[in-house]
Amino acid sequence: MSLAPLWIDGVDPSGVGGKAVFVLAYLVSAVGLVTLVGCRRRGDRVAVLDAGMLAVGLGLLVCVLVEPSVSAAGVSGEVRAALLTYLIIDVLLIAVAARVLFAGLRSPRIWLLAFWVVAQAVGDTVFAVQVLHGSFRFEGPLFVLWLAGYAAVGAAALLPGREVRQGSGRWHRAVGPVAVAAAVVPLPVLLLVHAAQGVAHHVLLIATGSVVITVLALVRGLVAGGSSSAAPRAAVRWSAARFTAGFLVLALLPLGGLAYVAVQQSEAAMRTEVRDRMEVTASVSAQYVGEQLNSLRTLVSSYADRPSLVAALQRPGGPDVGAVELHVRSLYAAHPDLSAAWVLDSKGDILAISPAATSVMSSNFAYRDYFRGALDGDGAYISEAYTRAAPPYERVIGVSAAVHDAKGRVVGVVAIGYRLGAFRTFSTRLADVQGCA
Amino acid sequence: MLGVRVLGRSLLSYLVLQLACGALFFGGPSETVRAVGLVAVPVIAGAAVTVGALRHRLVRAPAWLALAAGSVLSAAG
Repeated sequence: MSLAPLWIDGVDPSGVGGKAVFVLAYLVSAVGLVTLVGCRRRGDRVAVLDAGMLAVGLGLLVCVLVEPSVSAAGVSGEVRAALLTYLIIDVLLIAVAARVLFAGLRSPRIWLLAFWVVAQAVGDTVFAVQVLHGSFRFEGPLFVLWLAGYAAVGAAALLPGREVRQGSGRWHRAVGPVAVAAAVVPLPVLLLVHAAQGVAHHVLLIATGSVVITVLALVRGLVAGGSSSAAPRAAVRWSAARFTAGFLVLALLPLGGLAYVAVQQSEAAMRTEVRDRMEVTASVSAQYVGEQLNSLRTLVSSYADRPSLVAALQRPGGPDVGAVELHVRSLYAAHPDLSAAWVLDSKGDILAISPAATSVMSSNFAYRDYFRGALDGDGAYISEAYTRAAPPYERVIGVSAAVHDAKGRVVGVVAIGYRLGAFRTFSTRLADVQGCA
Repeated sequence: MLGVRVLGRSLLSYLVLQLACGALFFGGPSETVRAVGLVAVPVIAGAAVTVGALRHRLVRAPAWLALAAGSVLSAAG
């Protein structure tokens, strides 16, 4: 005879047949307890409301922390349904027992029944967690709780008959609010923890439960204020006002905290995303600029090495301006983002420019960075950005190369002006594509 | 006074019996003995509740009987 097929079937995660009987046993016990204590002091609505808040708070905690309804590996839907039923009944039983204790009714019998309820609830909660995590074993403190709970029920019935006493004093009145607060305070903490973790699937549940509890607290405040004599009524009103204010704070704090965390997280996520995209945009832009400038250097160098251009610049009696203009026009047409292309002699006087700009035809540009850079370096030179002297006076980068004759002497400088706006246009297009324009 | 003493004795006997059943479950030499101990606790509890409700005329006896039935049913489950 093994343990599993017998009584344990009801708690065995793999058992099926016993669960229905087990659930039935719970229900019958619940009916018995409700019948036993439910008729006492029917008019004590404050205790009922406190018990309701306690039940909602505990129910939410169980749902969020144990998650009996969430599918777990190796746990069938039937088992989860049974676990959920156990826990729901446990919470209801605790509410019933709490309703009696909150009303100030005390007797050893009631304490024993309350112990049974709490032992069952704690045992079932631990059992649910163990089953869902696959760590349940047929031994240990869990069974101590269950068995002690059953023993307590029998002891309650066998106790010598004693009258139920009505408790009085400050601590009796404080038991309800303290117990409710103990069940409710973890909720905003859980809400904030879930919000910080970015877990959203319990937020609505907790928020709804908090609203329900707040409504119950408000109703409790109204009900508690309805005493008959003047002095106690004022004291009770003051107490009810503090109670209600406390619950309102409890309800508003998580909402405020949640809003703050949500805004912070949203901003942080947005900043991170924008920074990432900007980094990509900047990286791609830098690569694009580098490739563009290299291609322009190659282009200018190829024109500076043209023998026909060298010959035109070396012609006896002065440069062949017509031939030079042909080269300049060809160079200007080679790239769509050029502002202009031009050739200067070795002294910096402009010989030809395309498109034509008569205002600079007699000018000397020996002071320009691109001219001096071309004379100093071996290959093509890329200048700093500057504003063109000819219309439309746009910002350009000069790319220049010296033209050498057969003996290595400088006979002129070929230069182009690359529009800076072309880089900006590319970056803007890229940012548009990245979604961070 | 005598009745109270008798009831006290009953309660004491019941608790000892439950303790023994619990000990059987946790320290039983075989699976069979452990199973008996495990089943006995809720069954004895149900029996005790029934006896207490009927013999000592507890208030709301049907509610107590429902609690007893719940205990025995959980053993049957």
